[in-house]
Amino acid sequence: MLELTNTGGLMNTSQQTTVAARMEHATKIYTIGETEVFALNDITVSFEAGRFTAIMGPSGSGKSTLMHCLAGLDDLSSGAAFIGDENVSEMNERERTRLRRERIGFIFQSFNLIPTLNALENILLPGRLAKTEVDQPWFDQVIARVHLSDRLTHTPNELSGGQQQRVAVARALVAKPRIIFADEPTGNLDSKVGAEILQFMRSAVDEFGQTIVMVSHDAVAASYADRIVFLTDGKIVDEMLKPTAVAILDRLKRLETPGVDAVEAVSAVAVT
Amino acid sequence: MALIAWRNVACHKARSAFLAFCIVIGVAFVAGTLVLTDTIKRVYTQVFDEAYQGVDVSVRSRTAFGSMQVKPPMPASVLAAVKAVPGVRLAEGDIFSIGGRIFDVNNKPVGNQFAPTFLASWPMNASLSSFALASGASPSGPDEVVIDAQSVSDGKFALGDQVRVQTSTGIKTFRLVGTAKYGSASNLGGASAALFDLKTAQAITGRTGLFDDIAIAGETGVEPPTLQDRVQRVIGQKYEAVTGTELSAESTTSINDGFSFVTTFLLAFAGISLFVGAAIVYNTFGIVVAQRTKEMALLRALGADGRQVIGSILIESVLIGLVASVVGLVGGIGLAVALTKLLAAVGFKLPSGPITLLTRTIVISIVGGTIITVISAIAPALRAARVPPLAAVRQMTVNTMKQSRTRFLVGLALFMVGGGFAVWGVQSMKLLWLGIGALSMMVGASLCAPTIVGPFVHLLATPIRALRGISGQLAEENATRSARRTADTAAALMIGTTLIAASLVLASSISKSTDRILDQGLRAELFVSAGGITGVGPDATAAIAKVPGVSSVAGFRVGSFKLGDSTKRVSAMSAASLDTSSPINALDLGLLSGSMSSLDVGGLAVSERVAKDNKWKVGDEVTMVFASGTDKLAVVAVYATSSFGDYFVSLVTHQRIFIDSSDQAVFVGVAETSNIASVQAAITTTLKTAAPAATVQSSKQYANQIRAQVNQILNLITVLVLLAIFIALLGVLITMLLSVLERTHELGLLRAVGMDRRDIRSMVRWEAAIISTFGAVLGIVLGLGLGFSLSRLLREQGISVIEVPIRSIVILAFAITVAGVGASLYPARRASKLNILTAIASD
Repeated sequence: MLELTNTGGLMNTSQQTTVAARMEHATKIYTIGETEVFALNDITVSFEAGRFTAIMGPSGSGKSTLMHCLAGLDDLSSGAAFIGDENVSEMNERERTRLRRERIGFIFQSFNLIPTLNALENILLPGRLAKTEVDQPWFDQVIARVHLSDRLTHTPNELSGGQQQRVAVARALVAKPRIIFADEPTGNLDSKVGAEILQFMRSAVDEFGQTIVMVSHDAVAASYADRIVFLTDGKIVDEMLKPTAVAILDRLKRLETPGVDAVEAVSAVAVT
Repeated sequence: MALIAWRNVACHKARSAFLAFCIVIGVAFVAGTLVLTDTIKRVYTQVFDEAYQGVDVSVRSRTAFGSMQVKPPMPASVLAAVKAVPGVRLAEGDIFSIGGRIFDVNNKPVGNQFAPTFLASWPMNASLSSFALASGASPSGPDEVVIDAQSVSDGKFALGDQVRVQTSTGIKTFRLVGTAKYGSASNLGGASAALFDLKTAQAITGRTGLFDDIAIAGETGVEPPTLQDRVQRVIGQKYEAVTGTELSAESTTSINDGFSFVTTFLLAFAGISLFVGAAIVYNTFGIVVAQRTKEMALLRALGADGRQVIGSILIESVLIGLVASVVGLVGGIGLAVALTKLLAAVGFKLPSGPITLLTRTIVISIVGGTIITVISAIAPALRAARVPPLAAVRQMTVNTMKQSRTRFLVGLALFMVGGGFAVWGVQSMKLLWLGIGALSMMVGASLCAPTIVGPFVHLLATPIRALRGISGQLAEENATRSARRTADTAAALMIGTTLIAASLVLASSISKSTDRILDQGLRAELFVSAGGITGVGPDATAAIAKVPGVSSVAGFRVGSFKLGDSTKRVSAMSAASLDTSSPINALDLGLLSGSMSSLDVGGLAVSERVAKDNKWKVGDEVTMVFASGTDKLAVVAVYATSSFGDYFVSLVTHQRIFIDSSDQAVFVGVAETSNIASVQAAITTTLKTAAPAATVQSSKQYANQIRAQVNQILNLITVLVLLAIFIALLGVLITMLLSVLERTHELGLLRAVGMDRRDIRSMVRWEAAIISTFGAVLGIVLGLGLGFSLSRLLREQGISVIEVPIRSIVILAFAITVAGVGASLYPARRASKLNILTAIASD
């Protein structure tokens, strides 16, 4: 409970410094049949620039919804979401599209690439959509870092799963977005390849000062983050700085035990 | 499996309805044509059976070919001989001649200009007559006429009116004393008839003392075939005896042949619509099967064998085909009713009678429509059966559907063989071979098309990429990712485009050739003609010659003959009007050898082309088979231009062979001192009384008239082809819609990384633009070839120049592309409206 109040405090202090994204009293309600389910329940949270934050929680805890609402892919029922100082909740469809292509990078769990475009074209896609010039030295640096130089002309179906995810990471980085959202980026990969991808993300934060927000339920993946925010039933229930895998697992075990009832309640509603 | 098929139809109502619609149009056309043909046949069989009810045997001159050819009349001695045959109870000679015209109070010809007006005798024995009195009295004396009820009502005549009738001996005025029915019909298949007493009929047709037919009724107990034998023995080989039943069947067939241009035309378009519809069913099932790979694999994994998977798809196609065929059949009946109304509106009013729906029509429509649908679904079904159960667990990859080698080779072979047929058809002037060749080439091109999709699309997309950036590039990549899908969708558009492009080339060639005919060699300033099959009338030429300012008149007549197996057209003019050294020269054909002046002594002039083909030279004798008999004519001249015909005889020869003495057209020379326009006006005034059906035109006006007629036919073809194009556009719509559904995930991703809705819409529309341009270009290439071939094939019909109307062709290509983009508007909207989150989450 100490961490909860601490979250609010952290928001206040970091506002003057650099906050890459934040949410204020964000609520998202889904209607299933005649029952309302709170996917997000009055959440207030900030994500600092130049840091790697992980959002964890059991299925149905609202972690993906939180990310989608911040990225302008989904609407909040009430409250506000900000990327930098721009209020996503007040934007129309066109402004959100512009926001996504200029300020945000995405890494999804799978099917990250357009199958008709080769690796290079996929990486350059957001820049071409935004009609911005490629920063060539930066591009070379990113490509070298993710070891893709010899794979650039390959189409996605000629690449392994790990290579595809590396292309996705490169795509997110090359556009120099204010923030990158990653949704279970290693969910479809084996642990060795997954570790490689996470290491790339880690070094993007350390070496290039990139801001990354990652949704995951994997403790090992989350241990690469600077900070972890725990969600249950649409509420932030805990937070952890400089986490280790063991500590995370320990914390999760503590969190999930009381959360079981809530998860079951949601599934029961969904069934009826 | 039947359950799955049923669910697929039920769950994809829009798609199923759409596929059914593609088949409905074709089936409706087939059913409509069959119903129309059967109805025409039945009502006329009834009419002729009634008309020939009292006639057991009929005698007429034997003709070498063609029942519509003018038959030479028989002398009275034949009637006398027939009357003496034992078993003949009644025999009566009659006159039944074409070449008449009836004028209404406004001096306009009554009835349909494409049907003849008969000049006939009223029978003395009512039982032997095809005509029966509907009102008034039968004609007697040189001043009385009875006219068919239809013409009387069309011309708004009343009994007692004075009616002007054009006869073989000039225009005369008669008093209308009665109206006649033909059998139970108000006229004879659209043709008008003016009936006189025998003596008058003989006089006005120039057949005094002669008969066209002899109608015979036998004594009780003498069977018509027996009577026919006896009569035939007496009259000799120059004449023939036929039974009333044969006569009725012959007349019905000849009426059906008369309508066959309508039914052939309709069946051709029915075929095209069905073909395009089938192509779309094939393509759609192909795409659906590819998309359902996972579902198929799951079924296989759950234990369904390949045959069951095929079964489920075929049952789905049977359901769609059945519904489509039933709807098509009903539509076809409606179409037939509409067509009879349309025919009536243009002057072919059918005798009243119910619409005839034979079991055969029902079977052909329903079985045919269903089978075509099922056949189109077989190849995709076989493909579905080859999906391995493992595919269920594999990740969905891009569906490439690459060109198969076999398909390409089969396509290439079809294309080449079709090309061979087409060339052969053009050489031998056989339209059927060209048609088969063109069809085979179209199918071949469709099969080969996937191979050229890549390079073609790349070429086409280069400017689009430059213009539209990433949306353009993605549109190109999407169009090429499944070459077969793109090619098949484009091929459906190709077919309609080919036909329109070919028609455009043909029409423009006809126009241009007409101009050339008139520029080349036409020495006369004015041209008099009457629309339809009856000429300007016997009085016209002499009357025009008397108009002040007219320096020369030259009558022009046509006729047909047989040379070997093929029917040819012979033109006739006086030798002086063809002789360039004569002061009354009207046409300069470009004499190469011999002399035109010898034409008057019974010679034949032929074009250089014909002379070369047959290796004829001046002095050779040519055996020509005319309807009235065989003649040997000596070649007296060979000339250069084929524009006015390949064979020329003199008017004297024509008169001897064809009996008819009415000119088809008249070339009028104007004296140098006179003003052409005022002479034209004076001729117009003269024609009002001398030949009211005829008009006088300058060569330019005549060319414009031909052009207007050609354009009218072109418009008709275009309207019918538009149906095929409409079906093809629905094909573009469904292909794009299915593609959008297939790419849901990708579209979601594109939206997530910042593509806006406008870009998505633009991407889908550009893809449709690429596909339809591909179809349009293929169609135009084939269509230019077909149009060129058709124009060549019709060279004997006077097409001497082949011209490509570049402007119209470019407009056509542009219109097809725009229509393709129009068809993609809805899929594009659907693509841009996708919810990003569900799109990304979708599998």
